[in-house]
Amino acid sequence: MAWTSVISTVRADDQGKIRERVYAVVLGGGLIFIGAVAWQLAVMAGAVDEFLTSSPVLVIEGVVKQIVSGELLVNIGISGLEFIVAFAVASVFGISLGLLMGRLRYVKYAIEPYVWLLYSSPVIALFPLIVLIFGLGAPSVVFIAIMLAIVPLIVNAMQGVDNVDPGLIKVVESFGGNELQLLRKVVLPASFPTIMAGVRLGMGRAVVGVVVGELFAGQGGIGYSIDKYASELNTTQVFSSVLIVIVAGLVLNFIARALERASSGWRTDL
Amino acid sequence: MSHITFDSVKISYKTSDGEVEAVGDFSAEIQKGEFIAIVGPSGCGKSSVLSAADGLLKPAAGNVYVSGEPVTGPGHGRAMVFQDASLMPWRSVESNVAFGLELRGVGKAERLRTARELVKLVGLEGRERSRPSQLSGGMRQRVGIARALAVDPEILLMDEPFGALDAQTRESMGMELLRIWENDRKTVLFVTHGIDEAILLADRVLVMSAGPRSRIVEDITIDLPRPRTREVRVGREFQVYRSRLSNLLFGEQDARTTEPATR
Ligand SMILES: Nc1ncnc2c1ncn2[C@@H]1O[C@H](COP(=O)(O)OP(=O)(O)OP(=O)(O)O)[C@@H](O)[C@H]1O
Ligand SMILES: [Mg+2]
Repeated sequence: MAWTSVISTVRADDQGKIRERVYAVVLGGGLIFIGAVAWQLAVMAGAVDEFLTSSPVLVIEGVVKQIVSGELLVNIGISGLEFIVAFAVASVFGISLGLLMGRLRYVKYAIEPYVWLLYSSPVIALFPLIVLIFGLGAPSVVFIAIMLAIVPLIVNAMQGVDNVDPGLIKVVESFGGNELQLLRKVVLPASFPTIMAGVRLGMGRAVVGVVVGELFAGQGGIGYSIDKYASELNTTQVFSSVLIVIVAGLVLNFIARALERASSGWRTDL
Repeated sequence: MSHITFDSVKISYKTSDGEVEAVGDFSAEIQKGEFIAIVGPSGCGKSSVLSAADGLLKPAAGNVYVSGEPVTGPGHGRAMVFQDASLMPWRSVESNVAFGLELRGVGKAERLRTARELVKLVGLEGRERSRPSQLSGGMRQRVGIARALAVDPEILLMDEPFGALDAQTRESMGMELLRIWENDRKTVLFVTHGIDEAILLADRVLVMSAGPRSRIVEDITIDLPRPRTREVRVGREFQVYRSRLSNLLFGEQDARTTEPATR
């Protein structure tokens, strides 16, 4: 009784929100969970060879092993630094360029083809060339991560500016505002959600860029570990490392959303 | 000297099929403190004329003068109220009202004080912190008016400010605008589709012909006593102005072919 009365005091739309979240978690995580259970059962029943396929339990153990040995910390240090540098550079350049393209039609004409070129070209295939220029190690990794991450940052910033209500731009003009004020007080706040969506997409692509970069040219980091374990045919540790990357991606996305919520305050500030 | 002079203003737009001359010849003298309504068929160039007066667009020929000086761009003495209010959805009511002052570099404390006064003036006291999305259409329009008044312009340019409102709200907003206007009698250019609204509010109604190459076909002085109340509507004079205006507007097609130059 007491329980139902508590529930009934929750506002209807809150209740709806809670239900939505439950659906999202169950549907989003359910398939993975079922897959993992099936995988584990198959291994336990001897249907597949544990050496080749590993198993969820082994993978988790592998992660624990990496934590205990300190390998995880070192890898996260290396990959994390590469990620931060690549993502920061991609964000600053990508968003500025996107804003510029959104405001200035001629800049857009001049640059847009290359953005789509970059978007549809297999950047990874250019890897030998990149290594030739930057050498083996972090610079190559950072470069490829930038190339991958910058596209959604540019495109979303441009789109965000394109979609700003022209009426609001007119308001600024009518009050005699200058271009900088227009940018700060209308264009940026109005396109903020679109830009942030680009930031989250770019973040994911930067993670992929770092891992794949390390796979080919790294001298340390998670991707480098994956390559090393793969050459040792250590399936379990390959999966463990991939799992770590996935978790890192989820954590980053979570942080991005939290930042987005926190920073939307400045839009409303006087 | 007149406050605003439209000297043979011509406005044209470049379109995919060449240049279109929207406004052919708009000439008018407006005195300080006058309340002017501009009416005309849709697309005749009312908004364009207002934009030219604000300095948002440059006439293809002719000039707009304010206190004798040619208008070359948006200036501090003028403020515009837009049809759809055009509020920043991420700003609160008071922050929207303070926007013009903010752009003009007025300090935070001062612009907030002014903004609150104006929020009160337009009857939105207590809603200072609301978001535009939480307001009704009429309330949003009040915010738009308060934002324009906040910079204390000499000239208020209003482009169908009540066009999106229902008839009842529209009328009460009009009366309220008059109440505010009676305080300091700014010069007002008020574009509207509503004949009643034009007569109720204005000292003079400028009637434009249909575009392209539109011009003023009539300049009607509304000789009704002020301060005006809703009651003027039932008077006989009001009805006379009303039928004259609707003849001009809705008999437009005939009027144009039979008597091209009425004035
Ligand atoms: N940016 C533009 N580019 C091309 N043509 C335009 C532009 N703005 C307006 N026009 C044209 O100029 C003419 C006048 O437009 P304007 O908006 O000034 O009319 P209006 O009298 O305000 O119309 P309404 O009563 O519908 O608001 C119209 O024919 C319109 O199509
Ligand atoms: Mg218009």
